[in-house]
Amino acid sequence: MNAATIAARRPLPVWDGKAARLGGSLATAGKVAEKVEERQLVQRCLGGDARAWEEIVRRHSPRLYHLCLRFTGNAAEAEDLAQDAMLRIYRALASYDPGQGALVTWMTALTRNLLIDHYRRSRNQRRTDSLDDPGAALPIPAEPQRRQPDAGVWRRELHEAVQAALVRLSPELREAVILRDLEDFDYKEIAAVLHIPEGTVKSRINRGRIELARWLAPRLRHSMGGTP
Amino acid sequence: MTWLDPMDCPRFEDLASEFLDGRLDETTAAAMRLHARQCAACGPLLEALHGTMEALAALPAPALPSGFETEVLAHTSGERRNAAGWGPTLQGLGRILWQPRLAMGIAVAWFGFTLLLNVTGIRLRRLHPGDLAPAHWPQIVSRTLHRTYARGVRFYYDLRVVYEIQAALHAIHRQTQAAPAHTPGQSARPPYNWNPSSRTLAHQRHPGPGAGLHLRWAWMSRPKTCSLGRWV
Repeated sequence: MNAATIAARRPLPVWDGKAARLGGSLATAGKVAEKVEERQLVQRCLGGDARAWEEIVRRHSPRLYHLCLRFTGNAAEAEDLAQDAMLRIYRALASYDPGQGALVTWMTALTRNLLIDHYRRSRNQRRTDSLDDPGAALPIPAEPQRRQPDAGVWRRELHEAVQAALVRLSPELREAVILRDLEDFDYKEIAAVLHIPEGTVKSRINRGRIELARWLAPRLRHSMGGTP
Repeated sequence: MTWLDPMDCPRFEDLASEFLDGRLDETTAAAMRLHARQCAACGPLLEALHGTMEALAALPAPALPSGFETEVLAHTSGERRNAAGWGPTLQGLGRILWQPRLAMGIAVAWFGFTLLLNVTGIRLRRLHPGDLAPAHWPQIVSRTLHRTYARGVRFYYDLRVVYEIQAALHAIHRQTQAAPAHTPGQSARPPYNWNPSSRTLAHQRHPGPGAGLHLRWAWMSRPKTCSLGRWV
C-alpha cells in the first residue's frame, strides 16, 4: 500500500488549528475582555473582597485540578497538589503583575513549579517501585485482542492508554504537550509558563507528540478502523 | 527531496506539529501536504500525530472532587495576608523546622557535640582560651582518658568489695541458720555440702574468722581512693 493510496483513502486534514481552537478573532477579543475582568477580580481580592477570591477559586480550580491530574495520573495526588497550588496562589496573589501576563498564565506557572517539585521529590520512590515491579516501567495497557462489544468500555480503555502514555513521557515533554493539547495554551503562553524560548516549546511539543504517537499507534490504528 | 517534492523527511518531522497546529505559511504547508502524500513514512506519521492529538483532546475533563472548593476557602478564609510581609516567610520557616527529620538531626548533632566535650574534657562553664589551642588537645584527651580509666578501676574494686561482703554475710547467715539443728547425740556435720577439694568459697568452708580474714584482705587490697560508702 503506497502513500498515494493512503492519502486517497483518508484525506489528510487541512488544519487551521488556531482558528479551530480559539474561534478566530472573536476568541481573541473574548480573551482580552477576560484579562480585563480578571485584573479587576484580582484588585478586588487584594482589597479584601472575599467574594472575589471565591470567584477566582470557582473559576480556576477545575482547570488546575485537570492539569495536576493529567501530569501525575493519580487522583489523590492531583487533589492535594491542586489544593496546595490554590493556597500558594492565595498567598502570592499580591506579587501578581498583570503587565507580565494573564492571571491564568501566572497561576499555571505556579502550579507547574509545584508539579515539578513534586516530581523531583517522588522520583526516588518511583525508581524503587519500578525495581520492585518490572511491569511498572511499561504502564501503557496492551491492545485488546478483540474488539470490546461496548463502545463506552472501549473509549475508557483508550483514555486510560492515553493517560498512561502521558505519564510515561519525560516531565519536560509532558508539561509542554499537556499545556498545548489539553489546556489550549498557545506557544507563546507555554514559553511564558515554562520560562523557555518559543523554539524550545515547538521542539518539546513535537517530540512529545511523536513519542505519544509511537506508543499509541496500535490503539490509534484500532480506533481508525471505526468504533463499534 | 526532488524538484517536485521540496520537503525532506527530517524537516517534515520537525515541522509536523506546527503544520497540525496551523502555524506554517501556505507555501510550507503545501509542501508538507505534498510530501505526506508521496512519502511512505511521513504520511502515516502525520496520521498518527493527528490521531494522537484527537485522542488527547477527547480525554474527559475530570469532575472536581467534592468539597475541594470548600476546603480551599476554609484554608484561605479570614483577613488577607500581605504576601510581602514576614508572615508567610515565618510560617514557611516554621513548617521546615517542625519536620521530625530536622528535630532528629539537631538531637544527634547535640549528642555528638556533648560527647565530644566530655571526651575532650572541655567544660563550657570553665572554658579557658588555652582549651581552644589545638596544641593542648592531646594533653586534654590524655588526661581525660586517664581519669576515665581511674574511675573504671575504682568502680571495679568497689564492686568486688561489695560482692565479697555480701558473700561473707550470706555464709554467716547460713551458718547461724544451720547451728540450732545440732543435737548432742548427732555427729558434728557441716550444714552444707562439704567438699574439701573445692577451691571456691573458701570463706564459706571456714566461716567466722575465715570470712573476716577474706573481707580484711579485700578491704586492704582496694584502691586508696575507694569510696565504699556509696555502694554499701
